[in-house]
Amino acid sequence: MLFNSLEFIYVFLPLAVLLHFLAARWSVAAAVLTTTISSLVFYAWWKPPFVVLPLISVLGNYWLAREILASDKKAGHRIMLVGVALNLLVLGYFKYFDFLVSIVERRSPVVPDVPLALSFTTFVQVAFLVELERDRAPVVSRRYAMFVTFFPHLIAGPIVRWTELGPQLADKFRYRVDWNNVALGLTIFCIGLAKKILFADNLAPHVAGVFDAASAGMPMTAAAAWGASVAYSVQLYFDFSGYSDMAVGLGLLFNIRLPINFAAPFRATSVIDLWRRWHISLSRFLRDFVYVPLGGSERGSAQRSINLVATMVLGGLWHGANWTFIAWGAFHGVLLVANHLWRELRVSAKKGLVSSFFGWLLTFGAFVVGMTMFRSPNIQTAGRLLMAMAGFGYAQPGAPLMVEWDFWAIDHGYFSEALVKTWLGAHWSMVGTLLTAALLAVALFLPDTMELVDYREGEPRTNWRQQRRFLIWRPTASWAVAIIALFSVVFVNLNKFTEFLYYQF
Amino acid sequence: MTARSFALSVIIGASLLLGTTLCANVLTDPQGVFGVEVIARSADPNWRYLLFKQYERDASLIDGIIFGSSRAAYIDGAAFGDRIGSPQVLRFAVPYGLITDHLPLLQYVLNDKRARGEQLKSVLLLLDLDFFGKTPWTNTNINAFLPPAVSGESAVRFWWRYLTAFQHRKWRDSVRRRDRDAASMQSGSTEKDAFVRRSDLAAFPVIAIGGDGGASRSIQTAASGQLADEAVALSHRSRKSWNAERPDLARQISYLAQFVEFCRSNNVALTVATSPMSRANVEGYPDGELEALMEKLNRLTPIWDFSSPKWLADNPNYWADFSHFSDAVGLLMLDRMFLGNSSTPGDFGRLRPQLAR
Repeated sequence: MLFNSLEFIYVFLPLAVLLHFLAARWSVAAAVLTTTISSLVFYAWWKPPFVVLPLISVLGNYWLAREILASDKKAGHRIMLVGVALNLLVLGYFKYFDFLVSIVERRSPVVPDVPLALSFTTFVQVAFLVELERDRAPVVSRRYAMFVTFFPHLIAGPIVRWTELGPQLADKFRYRVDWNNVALGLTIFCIGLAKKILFADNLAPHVAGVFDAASAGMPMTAAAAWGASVAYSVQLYFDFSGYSDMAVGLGLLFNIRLPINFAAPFRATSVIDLWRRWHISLSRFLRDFVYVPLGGSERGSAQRSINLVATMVLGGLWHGANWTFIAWGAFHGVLLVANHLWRELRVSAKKGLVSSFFGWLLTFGAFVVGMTMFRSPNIQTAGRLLMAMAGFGYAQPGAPLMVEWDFWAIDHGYFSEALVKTWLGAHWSMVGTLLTAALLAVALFLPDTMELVDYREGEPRTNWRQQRRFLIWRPTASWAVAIIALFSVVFVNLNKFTEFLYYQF
Repeated sequence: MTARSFALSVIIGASLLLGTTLCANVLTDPQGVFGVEVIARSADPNWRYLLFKQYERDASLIDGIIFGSSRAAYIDGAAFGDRIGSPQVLRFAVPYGLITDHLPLLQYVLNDKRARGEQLKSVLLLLDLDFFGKTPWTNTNINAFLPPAVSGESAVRFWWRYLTAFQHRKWRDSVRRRDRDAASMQSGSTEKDAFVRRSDLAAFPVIAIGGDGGASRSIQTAASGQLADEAVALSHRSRKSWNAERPDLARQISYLAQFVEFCRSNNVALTVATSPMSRANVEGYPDGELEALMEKLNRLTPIWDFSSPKWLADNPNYWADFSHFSDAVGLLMLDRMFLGNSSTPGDFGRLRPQLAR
């Protein structure tokens, strides 16, 4: 079931919330069990038989947790390692098996049919086992099941930690309706939904035209390649941050505070800062469970550079079994290394307006280049687009316009067909350019959802919030009207359901 | 305002929105699925559903079916019945109807007939070479969802969709349509067509530009007895590479193979024909593209090829509009296929024997 479907919004969600709090009148355990069952129904909506996988996974990891707690330190450590390996083995089997075989057989990999949410639940449970072995805090089976399967974060995160959610699930005061949380949760959910439906989904067809054409080997102008790559960056941001907002909003309806996953990442003026703002829960996971165990920055800058690249390659690979993701991860690893070196070389830590602007430009430009690899179906397509971005592209002579967006403006004489063909080529459009620029401005200059509502759970380690005197959310009549109006606009656009981009990972 | 009243306001607002939508959909019934034409007449009928209901009503009587797009509405069902000796023929002529619509219905009918101990005698399948392989509307457009009994979709989901779709333009059009009908009743000019109002079918966009089934940019057909105007024809021709995009071709070829096999294994007399195309329509495709497609389809079954000879393709009198041939052409096709014959010009229609696979 999708968060952006009417059956979710009008049937599943109200029922799940009502049943949770009705069961809570009986007991906390009943509420936890009820919501766990609701979450499994939510998952089963996709493919009912596949619900067996998270069930087995939850039971298996809970059994491992009990074994860890019942063992001494050394044996517990070994069990934890076995548990982590088993989790990764399952993930590897579903996600990477064919990719590895294809390398041996020297053929193109087949896109695997990965069970929904497997990547996210694997990381959640790996983090759980590692933290449990370290902290040795007791675990209750029902709460653990709800912690893993809780439907707001189940499919695409944020990647939650037992240390964050466990105490919340154990707090019996959270099992009563809190209208402050309901008001805040509904607001965040509506804003997230609007980001997905009104922004991300409207960019999608513009992006697809160019990437599909590049995949088919068609030539591309530099403007088209840059335009589509920027558009995809903006699309992915609104899609995934919209999803994450919705997850946070849904969590609040149950009085569960999920961590922030995005912190206005497009305002970052360095790559280091960017990764403190983009997909924060994944960055935290990679930092705590890959980068730090590898040695982090403790053994000098050379070792740090190796660790950074290795961590980011693994982060890239986590997104899917494709060389494009590996290249994307490695690229960001190199960018992080370069950023750290620059910081060491730099004389002054102070940033003026001009240096901030150039920092932003370089960061955003590099991010967009990375996104070209991320979105491309294969490394050849990425190469073709990157060549075009570097100025080696061209418009196919005599090719007709293959996208319709500019026809109206051409017919009305606002600009000529020749202009579009020469500069943008057959697959990118003026409309796409303007829409991308407008939505990029929204991402840059309007307050982020979490700024607007002053939500600070899992606040990233960066000074990202801007001082604002107006546009601060309060449960007032005018905000109620605004949220209802926003939801109405979304509602009329809800006839087409599109999956969230991160469902595929 | 307290947080509680804020939250309740948002919940009530959202509920009202859904409630209003439900009422509007039932009362104006834009797709005609609720059978309620109280304050409006369906502006965007789901012919797939409506014709299925017609089959359900007359199932025992029906022993022949014409499958096709809106073009098949120009083939007289009764005349087809006369020629094959069937008293009752269902004309499953649906807007942008492709094999993705026809195969599931054929399967349903064959199973249903078997359960009733009856036999479907004849099927005429009219293929549109210009649309074959393009992205179908089937189970995608709101006016093109197959009934749950045919598609296998849950009935709850099917009805939920028609209850909750926000379609204010269709609501408005449905109300306007009722007013227009009332006005034409008064002036005595109401179309007295049977169950399928052909003018409704022909009003659908039929020239797909961009290989997306006309969903993104479509050209409305001309209303009466003239070929499309020069601008439309030019626009169509200039987008040859678009028109030749057939992203769903492999699937539809496999569906056609299944269609042929189902008819064969159930002893149904199958006749497959391609619909004639106007000159302006043919010129929208790269040279040889349509012929190459014809050969692919011809490997699956014998096909009556009605590629338009010049006297037909260029003469506006034989065309209801840019895309649809006229009733007279429909009759000529039936004569050629089932009477042999005689009154039909010799260069119109030839049976192409099945090619080796």
